[in-house]
Amino acid sequence: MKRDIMHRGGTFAILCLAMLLVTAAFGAGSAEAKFPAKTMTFVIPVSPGGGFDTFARMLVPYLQKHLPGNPNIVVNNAPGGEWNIGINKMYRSKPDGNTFAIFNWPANAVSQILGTAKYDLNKVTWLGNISEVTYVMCVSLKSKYKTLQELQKAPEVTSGVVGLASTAALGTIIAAQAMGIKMKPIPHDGSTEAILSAMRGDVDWVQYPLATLKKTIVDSKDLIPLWIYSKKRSPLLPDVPTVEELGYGELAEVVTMYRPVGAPPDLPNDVKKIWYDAFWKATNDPDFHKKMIAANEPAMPMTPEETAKMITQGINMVARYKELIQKYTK
Amino acid sequence: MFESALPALIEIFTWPAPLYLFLGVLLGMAFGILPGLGGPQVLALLLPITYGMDVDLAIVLLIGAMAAVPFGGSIPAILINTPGTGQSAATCFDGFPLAQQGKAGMAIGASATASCLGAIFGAAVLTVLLPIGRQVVLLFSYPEYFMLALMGLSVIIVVSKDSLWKGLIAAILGLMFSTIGYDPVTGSVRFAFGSDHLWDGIRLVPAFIGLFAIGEAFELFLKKGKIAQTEYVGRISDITAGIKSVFQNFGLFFRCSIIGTIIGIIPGVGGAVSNFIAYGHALQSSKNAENFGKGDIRGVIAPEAANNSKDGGALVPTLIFGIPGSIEMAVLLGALIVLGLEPGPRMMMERPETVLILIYVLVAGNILVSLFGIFGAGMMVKLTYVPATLLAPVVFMLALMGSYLTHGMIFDVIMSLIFGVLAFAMKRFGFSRVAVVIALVLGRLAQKTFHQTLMLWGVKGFFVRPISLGLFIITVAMVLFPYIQAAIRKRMRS
Repeated sequence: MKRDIMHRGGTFAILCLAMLLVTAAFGAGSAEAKFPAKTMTFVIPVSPGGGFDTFARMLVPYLQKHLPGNPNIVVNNAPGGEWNIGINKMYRSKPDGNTFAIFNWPANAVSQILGTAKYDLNKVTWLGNISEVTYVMCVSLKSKYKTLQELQKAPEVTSGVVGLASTAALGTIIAAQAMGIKMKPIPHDGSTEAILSAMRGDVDWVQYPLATLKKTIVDSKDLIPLWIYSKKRSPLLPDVPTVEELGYGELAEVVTMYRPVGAPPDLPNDVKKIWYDAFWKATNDPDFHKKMIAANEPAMPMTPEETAKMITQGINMVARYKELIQKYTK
Repeated sequence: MFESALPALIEIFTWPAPLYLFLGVLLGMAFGILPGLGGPQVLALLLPITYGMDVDLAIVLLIGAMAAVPFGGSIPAILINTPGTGQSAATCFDGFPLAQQGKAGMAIGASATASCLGAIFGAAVLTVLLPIGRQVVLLFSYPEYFMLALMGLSVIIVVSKDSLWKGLIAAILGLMFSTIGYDPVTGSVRFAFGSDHLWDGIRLVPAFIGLFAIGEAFELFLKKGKIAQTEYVGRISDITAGIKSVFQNFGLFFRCSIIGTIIGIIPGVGGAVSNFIAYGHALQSSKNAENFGKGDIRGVIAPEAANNSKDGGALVPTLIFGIPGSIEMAVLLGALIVLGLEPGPRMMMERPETVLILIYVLVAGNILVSLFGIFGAGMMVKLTYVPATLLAPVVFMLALMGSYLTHGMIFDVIMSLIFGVLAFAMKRFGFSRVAVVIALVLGRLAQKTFHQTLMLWGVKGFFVRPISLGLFIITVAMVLFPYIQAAIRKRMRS
């Protein structure tokens, strides 16, 4: 029976847990400079729970599988300071390739553009990308405005966003500006609270990743999806138009999130080579792809060059909106 | 859904499920006991090993661990005045004084019983509520959150009956701390003193560890002696008395379980708040409140009932909408997604059996951890008879390690030390640490929801919604009640 096989694997895994516990609890500071070290650190600059944490942890076994020597990878959640704490931690670690971090892109460009970052994202050694996240714009069932035209004519549209200085609101602010909607952002602590607010009808507008909103708009129809920030329609929402169809094609580029992974600047070339190879193999592992699809977020591997190019473009794009962002954060 | 009730029950008693439950509970309890580690950490740690596991077994392991955390956290709260998790902070207020009186066994007995029954209560409500939970979750909006926070803050008046002025000074200090970090309206950073670490405000766990554990370690160093002020006799009857006390105060237990469940159901208020509100309720509803804070068993029962019943409540939005009610739930949601489940409207329809297994395990895990607690209490109590010179350094080290462990940041350790010194000074000069903690926890919730309400509806938003208005009236009544009572008495006499 399937269960028996699973069970044996599971028990073994539990035995390993004690070891893991000790390493996780005591930081596992490895003094070796070699790469890959026995223990590597994957910095996640947000708290456990949520997409970044889930998908980063999902990738870990595949990185272990494809890195030479199958190193132990310890996940380190270092939340706070709008991702700055975790990014700094990685950025300032020894450039031996044993510490790396997941990023929220293009959101993480905002700190650099506003001058609050103590790092230069152009200098990060980009290893590749995990996935691409498509956003859906939804309105509340109780909202008075249920089409783009109505939204554009409305005297004021409220939107549930996560923290104003935060970058999660970036897409909403930019979209509202481009479409000529008078939007008033109402800050929330997390996307879940904002989505609930829209379900209650307290705010009109929320936009979050399709994978997050799927159960609310596809499974239960608690919110009305108006458009999708993508070049092509989603098979999950065949009737929902794309921003391109609505005449705002450039928003498809701007309001799309990526989950790239980076290591400190100036990695030695031999380390880079091993990493590039292993990261590419891990993100292209068929097993990993299966898991990502099951979680409603197909993997989207990128080569290090493609990732670095995306980063440069993202920084330029956010720079164009600097004044708009400042208006909302002052 | 109810037709799968029996098959689901059989499932969790089928080998190897009990083994997984046992291991999960043991691990959850250990994480609960260690300050700084708690539900989110144990779930995150278990996450990778559940990959590829049978879904039902994975749920048994995860929920078993999650269920054991709150009671685990209460053990150090009672024994050494160090809440193992933020949810157990209110258990310190009376649990530790009981330990000082040599009644740690009683406190642990009461805590285990209230935890276990509270969890069962929460799970029962969850089961009944699942079909209609939607409406309940959507009833609460920002004005209601604000009124809940206000209600919690009003407790400060009651806890500071020795000196209202000192209580208010402590409360204002706590409220000032709660303004550090992002401004909820403008999004600008306030009072961060140039440190990224303060952008999100003062982290609660390091602050609690400083205020209670480190403050206590200082005190132990100076006082010498031992925590318990009595001779060790090793009575089992204490534990039994603790268990009985829950039944003797069953009304209180019941009301606090309701409070915990409701707060659990409301996403975003969280476990750190439920135990304070329940504690406050116990204070305000008792006729002889003068013993609270000095070792009243009711002060243990109330927060313990609430912080365990809230898990059942928090599963309501998680299961119905796929929207997590707390950080633990967010991690759990991630774990379930990785397992190929999708909590939310579809899972309820398509996999009712899994939903029921989840609820049963929550109950079973709580029963198991409480049994561990009751049978282990005799041993744990001995800790309070260890000479302070031996215990204090251990408490000190555990506390510093705990504040480091949550995020692996030395900044949190420094924060704990600062709060430790503050706590020591406050204790010396008779200021209430409880007031600081309550204000710190609820201040942020109050600020945020106050502004959200004003931005959307203006001032009238607070008073035109029935639940919000009702909560406001109850709060005012609770604050004024002692004065009115006194006035009436005076009149009767004259």
